[in-house]
Amino acid sequence: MLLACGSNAHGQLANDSVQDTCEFNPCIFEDAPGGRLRVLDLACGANHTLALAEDSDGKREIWGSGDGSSGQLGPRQMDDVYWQFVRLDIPHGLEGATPKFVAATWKTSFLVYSLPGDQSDVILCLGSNEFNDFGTSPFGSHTPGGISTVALDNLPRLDPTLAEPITVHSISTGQRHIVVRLTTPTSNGPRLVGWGAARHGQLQAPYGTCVTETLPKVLRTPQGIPKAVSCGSQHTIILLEDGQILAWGANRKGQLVGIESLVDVQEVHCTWNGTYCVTREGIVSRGLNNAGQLGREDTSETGLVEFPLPWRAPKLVACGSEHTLALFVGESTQDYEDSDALIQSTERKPSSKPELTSPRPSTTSQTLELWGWGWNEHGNLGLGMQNDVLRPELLFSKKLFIPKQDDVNGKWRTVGRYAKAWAGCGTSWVYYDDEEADSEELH
Amino acid sequence: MGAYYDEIEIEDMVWDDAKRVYHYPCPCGDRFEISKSQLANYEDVATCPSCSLIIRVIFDPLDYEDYESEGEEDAEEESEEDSDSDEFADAVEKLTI
Repeated sequence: MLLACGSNAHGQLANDSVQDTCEFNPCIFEDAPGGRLRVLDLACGANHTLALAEDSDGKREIWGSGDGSSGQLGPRQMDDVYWQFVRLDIPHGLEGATPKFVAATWKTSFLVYSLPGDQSDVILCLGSNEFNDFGTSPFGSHTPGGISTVALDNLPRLDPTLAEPITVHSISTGQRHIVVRLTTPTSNGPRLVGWGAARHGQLQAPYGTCVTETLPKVLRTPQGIPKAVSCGSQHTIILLEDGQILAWGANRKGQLVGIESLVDVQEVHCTWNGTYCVTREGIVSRGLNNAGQLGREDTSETGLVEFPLPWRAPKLVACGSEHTLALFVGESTQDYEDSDALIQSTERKPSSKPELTSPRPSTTSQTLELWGWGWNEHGNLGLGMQNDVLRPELLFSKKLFIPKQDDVNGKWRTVGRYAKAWAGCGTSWVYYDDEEADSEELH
Repeated sequence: MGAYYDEIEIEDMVWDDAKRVYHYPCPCGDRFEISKSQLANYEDVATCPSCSLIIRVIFDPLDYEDYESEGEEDAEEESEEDSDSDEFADAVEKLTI
């Protein structure tokens, strides 16, 4: 089940309307097979959404909703607006290609495919090329139907250790720039390449020296091996394997202040004008705070997002344009408090009576909790209102269906535990495996 | 200061030839827009039609004053009817291409 809320002027929420939606509503996949699709990846542009979904047989397809007017939903969905997710039939002509990731800049879509055998992964681009989002020279390779291919094949010319075949590990997009983490047999670990808007130094060239990078450029990280990347509108944050951070680009909103001196960082995420680093103590938030984006009252440089509960590591953090989501899967906060009480009470109990110990929280009762904060003008936090949220609030919770071990026969080994969240331009998204469809099939 | 969502250099904005405006992405998915005549009139606030958010545009008004008198055929100072007829002239121009 995929749910969404927020800005919806072009039907990008795929809930069969073009009205903003300030509560989480189910998304509709047009002609979906039995309604059972697991969303693996989701990406939001200005007014369009891409979803990479897998059916229970493991077959993957890319779906799209919202604005297709710039070709961002492919040549067969041009000049129209889609209020539901439609299958994107991309005439790419790539034999045996399997979609791997989806990503989007403002009006551009990126589809990453893996190919059989020893072939390099391919990144296809659809839509607007206003800021050289395509990563292709005007004379570069174009597949038929207005689809462009990112010129990864140019990389060996820039760096001989990036000889093909190339494997893409992640694609991160800001408003108008793209950074890909990739490996090759000779790359000695993951490396970064980037292209698109570059005027603010977000692709390493100093401010004002380069307007856009037309072709993928090798980004150097001599300080260490890049583990993760996140892009804001004019800044880029790199997490290195040793937990240190590199920060490039605009600092006009203080989004880079103190970021490079953080240590032992687990994850990095960017809103358009903010930086969010998950550490063992909590989420470090930096940058614009005109609508509660930093999620804290403490406005000092060392402040952490202020959750109203003891800190526990989220399953994931997702940043939209000016709001942030944190997804937790586990015991609910209610159980959490109860289990703390339980531990205290059992400690006081005499060890001679172990049978008095209350049963441990059952592993079959996990709860999904989505928390969020920040800009909420379009109801994008799903709280039924449009006031900004200055401190994290519980947006949505759901008891997850977890089948007994011997019921799990299909491809989806982690059925019931799989949950994800994404955030876009004034939109929020949460997916969990659908209870009813599961229980039918697993019966 | 606090009223502006952001301050954006004109170099980061995009010119839309059809709508005759400079624009920049708004976090709601719509866009902040400002016309050349506004820039020429020393106006620097670009607004989003779908939001309460506004940005301040960083630019040199003199650049646009010059451009206006050269490129826009002095349409701005005149009445609405005149600007309508300018649009019509534009349309005819496009038809002949």
